[in-house]
Amino acid sequence: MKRNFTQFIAVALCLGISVGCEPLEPEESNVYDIDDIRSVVTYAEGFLIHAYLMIPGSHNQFPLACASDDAVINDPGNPVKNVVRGGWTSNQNPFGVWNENYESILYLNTFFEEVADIEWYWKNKTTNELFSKKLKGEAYALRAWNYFKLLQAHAGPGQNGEMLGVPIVDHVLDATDPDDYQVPRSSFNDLVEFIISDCDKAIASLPSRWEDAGDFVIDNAIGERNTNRINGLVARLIKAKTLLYAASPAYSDGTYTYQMAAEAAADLINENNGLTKVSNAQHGHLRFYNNENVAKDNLHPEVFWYSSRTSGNNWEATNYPPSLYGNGRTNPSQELVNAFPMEDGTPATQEVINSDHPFDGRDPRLEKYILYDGATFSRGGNTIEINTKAGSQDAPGSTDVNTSVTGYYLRKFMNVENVNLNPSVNSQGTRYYTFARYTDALLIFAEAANQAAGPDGLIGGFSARQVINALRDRAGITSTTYVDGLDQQQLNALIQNERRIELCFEGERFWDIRRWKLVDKMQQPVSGVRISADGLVYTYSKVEDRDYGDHQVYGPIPYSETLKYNLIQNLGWR
Amino acid sequence: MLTLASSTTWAQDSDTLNLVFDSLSLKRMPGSVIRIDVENELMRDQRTGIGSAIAGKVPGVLDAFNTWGTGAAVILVDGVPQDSYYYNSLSLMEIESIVLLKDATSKALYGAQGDQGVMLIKTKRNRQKGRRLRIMGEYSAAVPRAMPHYLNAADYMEKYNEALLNDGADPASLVYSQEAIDASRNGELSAIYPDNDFYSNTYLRENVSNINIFADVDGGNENVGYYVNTEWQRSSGWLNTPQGDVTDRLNFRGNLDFKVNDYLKAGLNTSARLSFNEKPKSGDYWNKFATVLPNSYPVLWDPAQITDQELREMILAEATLVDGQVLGGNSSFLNNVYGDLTRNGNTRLMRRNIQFGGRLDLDMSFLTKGLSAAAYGGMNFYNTLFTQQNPGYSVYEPVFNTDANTIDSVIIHGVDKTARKFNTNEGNSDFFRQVTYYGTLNYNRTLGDHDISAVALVYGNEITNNNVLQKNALFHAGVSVNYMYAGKYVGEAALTGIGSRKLARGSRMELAPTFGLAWIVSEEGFMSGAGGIDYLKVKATYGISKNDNWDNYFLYNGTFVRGATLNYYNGTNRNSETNYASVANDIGLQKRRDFTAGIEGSFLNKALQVDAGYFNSTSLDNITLMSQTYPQVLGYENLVYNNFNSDQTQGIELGLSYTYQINKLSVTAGSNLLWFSPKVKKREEPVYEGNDRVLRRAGKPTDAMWGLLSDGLYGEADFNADGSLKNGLPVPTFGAVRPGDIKYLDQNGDQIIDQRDQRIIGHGIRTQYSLYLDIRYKNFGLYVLGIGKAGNSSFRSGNYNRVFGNVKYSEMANYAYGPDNKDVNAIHPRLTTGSGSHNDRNSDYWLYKNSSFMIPAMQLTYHFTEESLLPFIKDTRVYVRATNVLVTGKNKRFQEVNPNGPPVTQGLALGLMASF
Repeated sequence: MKRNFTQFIAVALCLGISVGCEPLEPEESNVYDIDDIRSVVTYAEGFLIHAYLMIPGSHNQFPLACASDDAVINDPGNPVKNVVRGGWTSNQNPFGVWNENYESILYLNTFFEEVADIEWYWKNKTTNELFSKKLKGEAYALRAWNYFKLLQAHAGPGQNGEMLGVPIVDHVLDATDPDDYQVPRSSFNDLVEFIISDCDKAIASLPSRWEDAGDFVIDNAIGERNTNRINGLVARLIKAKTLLYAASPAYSDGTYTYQMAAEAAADLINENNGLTKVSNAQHGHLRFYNNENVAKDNLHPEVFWYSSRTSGNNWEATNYPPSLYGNGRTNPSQELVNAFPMEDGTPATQEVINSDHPFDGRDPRLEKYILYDGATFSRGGNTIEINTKAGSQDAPGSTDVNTSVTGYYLRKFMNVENVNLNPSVNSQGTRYYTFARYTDALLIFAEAANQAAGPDGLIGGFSARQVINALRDRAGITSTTYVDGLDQQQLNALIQNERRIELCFEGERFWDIRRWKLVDKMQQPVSGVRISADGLVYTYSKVEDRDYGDHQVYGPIPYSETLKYNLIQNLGWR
Repeated sequence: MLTLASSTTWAQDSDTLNLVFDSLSLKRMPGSVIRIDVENELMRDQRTGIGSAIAGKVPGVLDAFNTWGTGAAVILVDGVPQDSYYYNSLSLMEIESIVLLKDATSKALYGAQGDQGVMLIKTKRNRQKGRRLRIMGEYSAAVPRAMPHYLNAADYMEKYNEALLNDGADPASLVYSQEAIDASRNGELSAIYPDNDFYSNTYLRENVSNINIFADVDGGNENVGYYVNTEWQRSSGWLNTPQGDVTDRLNFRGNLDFKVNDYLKAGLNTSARLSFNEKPKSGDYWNKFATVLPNSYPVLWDPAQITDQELREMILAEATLVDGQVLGGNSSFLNNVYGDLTRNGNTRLMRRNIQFGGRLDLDMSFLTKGLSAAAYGGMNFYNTLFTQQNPGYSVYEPVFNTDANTIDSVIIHGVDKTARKFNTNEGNSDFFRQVTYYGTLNYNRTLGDHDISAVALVYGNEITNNNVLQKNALFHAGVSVNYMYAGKYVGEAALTGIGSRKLARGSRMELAPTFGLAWIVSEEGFMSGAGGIDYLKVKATYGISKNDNWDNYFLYNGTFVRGATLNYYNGTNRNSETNYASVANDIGLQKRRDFTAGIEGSFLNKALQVDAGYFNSTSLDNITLMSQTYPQVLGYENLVYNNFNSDQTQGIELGLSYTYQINKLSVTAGSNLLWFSPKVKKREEPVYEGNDRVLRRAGKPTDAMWGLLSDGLYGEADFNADGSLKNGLPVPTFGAVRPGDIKYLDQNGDQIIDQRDQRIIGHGIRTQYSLYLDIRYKNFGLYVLGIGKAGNSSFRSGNYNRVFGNVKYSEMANYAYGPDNKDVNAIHPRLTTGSGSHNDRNSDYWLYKNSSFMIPAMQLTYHFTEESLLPFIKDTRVYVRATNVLVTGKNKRFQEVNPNGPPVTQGLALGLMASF
C-alpha cells in the first residue's frame, strides 16, 4: 500500500508538471521582432513597401470629381451625394487623408530610425551605398508626397487666425509621452518648407528616371529594375506643385511666389527634354492610361510614375453604361463638356451647345474622355455607338437604375477597346494607375510663369504661352490663333480651363478651384442633358446642387482628432 | 397515483447539487444558484429545448441563457463546454438537471469561460432503480403571426413616381407612364407588365411542421449501469417550391458506469449529434423575396402572349415549362428567383459532433477518511460537409414592340444545364477538435459540528479550429473550501489561478479570490416554532473572477508581420510590406467583481417558496483599444491597448411560488422576476467638452439608445419659396431637406443638426417578469406560462420600415408624407429616390416602445395512472400544447414582421410520453 501511494504521488506530479507548463504557451506565430526585421533586407525594405501600398491607385470611383463641377455620381447611396448637399463636416469627410497618411508617415519614419543604415547588399560596397541612398531617397520622396496630400486636404486658416499646416511628425512618436505625441499644427509655411526640404533630399538621392547604365554594380541598385517606384522627377513635381499651392490665392502670404514655383517646374521640364516630345506627332501618349505599349516604356516622356500593369474589368463594370453591362456610376457634367473648346481652339459657344450637333467639331480630347450620344468606338472589329436619346436604356430617366443622370458616361481610363462585360464574353483589359505625369508639371509651369512673368516672359527658357500652345497642339487643336491673342488675365483663365480638361478625373479639379478661391465655381449647381428621341432637341437642366459653404475652400481637421488634444480646427469648421 | 404537490421549478434546500467537481447541498451554498429539476418540469411543459426549461422559469435570467442581463452563460454539459450546435441539439428528455451559477463565488472553479455565468447540464445516467424504457413522440405545426406586406407592381410604380415628384422631378419625365401602371393593374400582358408576389403559395407554405421521436433506456445492477437514448427530428422549412427546405436531426447518447472495485469507479460518455439539411443552392431566399421589385422582370410568364406563332411554338417546344410558363429575365437580371429555387441545384449541409469521454473516481479513504479523487478526459469532434449541385438555367426576355403593342421577339439569356451530382465545397466546410481534461482532489468530512467540503482542481480545455493558428485554450487550477458549523453557519472561500496564453511569459497566471457567507436562520434555537417559517437562509458573496476573453495574442510585445505584396518593374520584381502587428502594451487579465446578497425561504408548511437577491456585477479592466485617446499622428494608435473599460450591472432577482392544495386539486402560482440596470463605469471615448459633454458615455446606461430628437416632419411652412429652409431653423448636415423630411431638433444650440445633437432616447430591456399557473386535478394538469418584458424601446429599422432610394416598397410607403398626405406627423417621411441619408438615421422619429407580454406555452396534460393502464406501462401522459398563443404589445405591427427571415409563428403540438 505504501509503495502504491508513493507511485501515485510520482505519477500525479509528472502529470501536473506536464500539463502545468504546456497549456499556457501560445502557438509559435508568424510574427517578427525588430531584430528579425533588421536581419533580412527584404523585411527591412517592407516598411517602405507599406508606404507604397497605402497610396490609392484605382480608377474605379472618382469621389473628388463627383464632388466637383466635373461630374455627378448616379448612386443615391454614395456618401459623396450627401457631402455635396451640405453634408461635408469634420466628422464626415470622404476627402480627408489624415489617418492613412499619418500611418504611412509612421512607416517612413520607422524606416529612417530602425533600418535605413543596415547593410543592404553585402556582396559589394558600392552597390550597398547606392541601395542605402536610393531607399532613403524614396522614403523622403514618399514622405513629401504624403505631406503634400495632407496639405491639400487639411491645411487652412486656423481658428486662431493664422494660416496653418498640419502636425509635422519627423520621427516615431512615443505613446507614453504626451509632450511627444500631442504634436501641434505647424504654420503653413513651415509645412511647405518641410515638404521642400524632403523633396530636395530626395532629388539629391534619386535618379530622375530608373534606367540602366550598363554597369551591374550600379544597375543592381538604381537601374531599370526599380520601374514603378517613385523617382527624382516625381520629387521635382511634388516640389513644384507644393510651391504652386503655396503661391495660390488660398494660401499665399508672399513668402512663396509664383516665380519660385515656375522655376521649380522649369527645372523639371529641362530635366525631361523640354517640349521636344510635346507635339501633335506625339499625341499617342495622351492615351497613356489604356495603351498597353506605353507602359512598357520606362522612359516614356509623359508618365513619370505608374503602378505595375495588371488585367481587370471592374473599373469598366463600375462606369460603363448599363447597356454595356455597367453600373454607369461616374457621369461627367455638362459644365465639363462645355469646357472643351472647338477643334480650332476657340471656346464652344452657346450657339454650338444649343444646336442639334453640339459634339461636332470639338477638341479631339472630348471623345477620348467622355461617352456622349453618338460617340463611337471600335471593339473586336465591331463599332459600338452610344445612344442616350429618350427611350433608350442609357438615357437619363430610363427605368434602368444604372442609367446616367447627366446623359454622359466616362470614357477616360476605361479600356473600351478591350473590355467587353457581356457575360458570354467577359473580357479583361490591361491597365495601370498613373501617379505622376508630365502634363501636370507643364500646367504648373504655365500657370506659375504666366502669373510671375506674363504670357511670354521666359523662366528657365520657356514661356507660359509656348507651353500651353505645345500642350494644345499635342491634343489636336489645329490653331494657336486664339491663345496668341490673350492677355495675362485671359491666359490665366485659359490655363485653368486647360488644367480642368487635361487632368479631369485625376483628383485635381476639386482642389484647384479651392486654391484659386473660385467659390462661385464651387457652389454652382451641375447640370446634364436630355436628348429627344429623334436626336434633334437638346434640353439642359440642373442635376445636382453644390451646397458648399464659403469656408469649404479648405478641408477640415478630423473632428475626433480635435477632441484628443488641443489641435486647432480650420476656420468655419467645427 | 400522480403526485399532486407541484413545486417551484427551482430546487429545495435539501437537494444535493452535482457541481461536476464536487457535490454540495444547496443549503450550504452562499451564492446565487438555481437548480432545475428537469423531469419534474417536463411533467407540465413538454417542450424539450433546454432554453424552454429556463426562460421565465427561474429568477435572474433574461431569456434562456443571459445571466442578469450581462451576457450569455457558458454551457457545460457534464463538465465540458459545448457550442450552440451541440446544446441546441440537446433534449430535456436526456437531461437530469440544470444548475445555474451566477455569482463569482459559485462559479469560481469554472475559470475564464464563466465570466457571464455558468450553466451546468448533467445528462441522465442509470438511476439504479431498475430498468426503464421511455418513448416520446410529438408532432407540431406552426403558422405565421405576421407576414411582410409589399406593394404590388402598380402601387409601387405610382409611389415611385411620387418619390420622383417629391425630389423635384419634372412631371412630364417620370419613369413610369400611366399606361404602364394601368396595364399592370388590369393584368394586361403580364410578360411586359409583371407583378411578382413572392409571398404567395408558389413560394411559401402556409405552415411548417416538426416531428420529434425520442426513446431512452436505462438499467443495470450495483456494478454496471447504462443509459442510452436516441432521437430523430424532422423540421420542414417554409419553402413551397418542389425541393423545399428540410432538416433532419439524429442524436445518440450512451452513458455507462462500472464499479471496478471498492475504490475505483469508471464512467464512459459518448454522444453523436448529426444534422442534415437539403435546400436550393441559392442562399438566402428571404432576402431575395424582400428585395426583388415586383416589376423588375416577369419571374414566370405565359408564352401564349407571344404574338408570332412560329416563335411561340418554338419556345413552347424548347423551354422547360413551369405550369405552362417560362422563366423570365433580362440583361440586368440573369438570375430568376423561381429559377434559383428550382433549377439552380441544391446544397446539402451535414453537420456532425461526436463526443466521448471517460471519468475515473477513486475513493481514497484508505489514506484518510473523506478523501477522494477524480480524473476526466474527453474529446469532441465537429465537422461540416457542404456539397452542392452546379447546374444552370436560361431565362427568357420578352421584347415589347411598343408600336404594335405585341411581343414578337424573345431574347434567351444563358443555357439550361443539368447537373445532378453533388460536389464538395471545401470553402464552406468547417472543423474543430476539442480536448477537455480535469482532475480533482476532494475532501468531505463531518466531525461533530464541523462540516468540511474541500476541492482542489486542475482544468483544461483546448479547441483547435481549422484555419486558425492559435488554439482556443482554457486552463486554470484552484482550491475551494466550504465549511459549515452546527448546520447553520457557512463560510466559503476559493482561490483560483486563471491561466492565459495571451499574456507575457512569466505573468500568464493570475489569482482570483472569492468569499461567501450564509446563515441558516431557521436552524437557530430562537426561531424554533416561529410561526410559519419552515426554512430561512440569509446569504452574501463577494468575489473576483478573471478572464482573457479578448481576441488578440501577443498584445504585450512589439511585433511585425509581413503583409501584402507590391509588384514593380511591371511584375518582374516584388516585395511584401512589413507591418506593425502589435506594440508592447502593459496588460493583464480582464476582471469581474460580483457582490450578491439574498434570502431563501419556505413558509406556511412549504406552501410559499421565496428566493430573492440583489446583485452587483462589475466587468472591469476590459482590454480596450485606446484609439480615442491616442491621436492618429502617432500612426500606430490602433495598436495601443489597455485594461480600461468598465461596465456595471446591478439589479434584483426574485422567485416566488405558492401552492394551494385541497383534496384532488392543487394550484400553484408563481412568478420570476429580473430587474437590472446596466451602467458604463469607465469608457475609452472622445472627450467631449462644453455643450457636447452630455455625449460622453461614462456614467450612462450601457444599453442607451442614442439618436436625434425630432419634432415630426418639416411642413411646407418651414421653407421659403426658393426651397431653402426658413431663417432661424437649424441647418441639417445630412444633405438638403424638403417638406416631409424629418425635422430634427438642435440640442447643443449651435443651429446645426449633426451627430453631436444625439441624445439618449431609449434603452434596452430592464425588466423581465413571468407568471405561471400550474393546476392539477385528478389526472389532468394545466400549465400556463406568461413572460413579460418592459422598459425597452426599438427603432423601426431596415428597408421594410424605412423606404427610400431603389428599395422594394413595403406598405409603409402608403403612410408616407406626400401630395395627398401633408400631415407633419405622418408615420413615414416623404418618399425619395435619393439616399435617405437625412431620414435613415436613428432618431426618436423611428422609436417605439417595445414592451410586450406573451404566452410561450400553454399545455394540457392527461396522466394515465397505473391502474388505468396495461400492467407493463408505468408512467404515461398525452398532451396538447399551444405555443405563443398570446402576444400583446402596443406596437405589435412593428415588432412582429420579420422581412429578412422566417416569420414569427404560433403553433400547436400534440404528443405522447410513455414509460415501460
